[in-house]
Amino acid sequence: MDLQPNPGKPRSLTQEGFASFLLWLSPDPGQAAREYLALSEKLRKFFVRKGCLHAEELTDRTLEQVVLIVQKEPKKYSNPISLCYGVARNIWFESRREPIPEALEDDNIPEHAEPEDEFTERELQCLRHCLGQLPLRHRELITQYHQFQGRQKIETRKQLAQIYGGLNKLRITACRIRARLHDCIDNCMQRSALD
Amino acid sequence: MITDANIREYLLGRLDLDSELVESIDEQILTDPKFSISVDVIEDEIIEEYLEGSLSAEDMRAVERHFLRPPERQRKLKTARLISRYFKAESPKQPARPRSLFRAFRIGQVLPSFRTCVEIAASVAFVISTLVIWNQRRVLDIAIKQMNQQLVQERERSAAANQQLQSALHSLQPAITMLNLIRPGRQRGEMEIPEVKMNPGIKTLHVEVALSSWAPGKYRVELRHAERTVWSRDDVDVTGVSGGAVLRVDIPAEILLQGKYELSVIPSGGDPISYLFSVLKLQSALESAPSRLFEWAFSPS
Repeated sequence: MDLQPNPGKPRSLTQEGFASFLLWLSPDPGQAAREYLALSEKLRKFFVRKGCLHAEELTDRTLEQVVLIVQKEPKKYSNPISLCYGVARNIWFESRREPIPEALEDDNIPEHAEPEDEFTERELQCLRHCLGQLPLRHRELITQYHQFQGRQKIETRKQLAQIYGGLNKLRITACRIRARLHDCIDNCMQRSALD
Repeated sequence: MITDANIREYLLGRLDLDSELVESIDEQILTDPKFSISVDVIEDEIIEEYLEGSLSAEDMRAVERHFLRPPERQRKLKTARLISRYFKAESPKQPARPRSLFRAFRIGQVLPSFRTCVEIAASVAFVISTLVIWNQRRVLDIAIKQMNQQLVQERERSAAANQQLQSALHSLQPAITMLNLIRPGRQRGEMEIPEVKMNPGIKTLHVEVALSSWAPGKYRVELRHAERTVWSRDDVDVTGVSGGAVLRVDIPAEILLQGKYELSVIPSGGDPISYLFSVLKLQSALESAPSRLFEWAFSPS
């Protein structure tokens, strides 16, 4: 099977094709929808990690391609994520060949500077709200994890690592708490933008 | 073997894109959730170092030219900056020392250091002072609560006593009040008209009208208020006295509202004589002095 995308060929993704793709993911419609969303999220993260500017668009292109492949030969593939991986890499190679806007001259690239703008009261409110949503143990951990700089930070994290089962576990736990906070703050800001 | 350093280089876009290492990282990112979390951790650490300004110049350039290209990462950076600044602003002056007491007494460290002893003593002193303050506050709270309860009881007692006083005053109030009218309205000029105060317990207004000239026979008496007759009585007798006569009528208090009244005394076949007075309705017996059992409303002569 040729996993190479063909940008010149018009896409022929149909509703029936998409329905048969969902059925291929799972005979249970609810489970199929969840798997589709999980695939989409993994692909989006994949493209972000590769530094792509338009991760959402590349994700959509990948999934369209995967749907077409599955529609054509549903029995040939059994592992959705492996199929997605192959297609996503090809889409990514293809995107690299697409013309990109001309880069700025070095002299014109703005130097890194600490942004002067303070955060809005709403952002701080959202952060406080989201911290309040965390379990006490997590709130304490993330507070201590980020409280200090330099030597103090290293010492504090060493002590936290003793409590939380090692440095690697601590890093992963803190990362998960931050991800939860990030999502919560994003949602909170979106809600307040709608108000 | 993929190391943290490899992942970091991958995220900063510094690996050969066609290499097997990149292919392997790509594959594991999509297929291995544990590996994906490790990548998240390193990604967060790059952002943290970027915010702290602890990256090398080369790393800084890689972050700005490659790592921060996706808008998702820019949003992540913004949230990370918010979190970082918030916690730094909230941080205490002294670093937290998690489990310092536990560490001080762990096996193999029999005697705690002088500094640890001082810390323990300070902590104990702090706890004791906190407990003392807390206890004082508790005692104060109890006292305030008791005083509030007493105050509520006092208020209730006062309300009950006031009610009893009102009833007693009502029972002491006469059912009748008196009004003497001497000078007819047309002779009053600018003089103030007599005023009668009506307590709630008053049932009857007894009016005595002094007539300087009179004719034997029956009189009609009419009471007007707001330009209409509100009460009248026919065949009223007058009693002759030295220098004139006195006409007496009892007007039921229930018909009297607050305001000005005109009492017309009409002899049979003669002209009516009008007397003016005003009624002041009191809400409570306490509004008038309790000793004033009768209300006299003489007009100045």
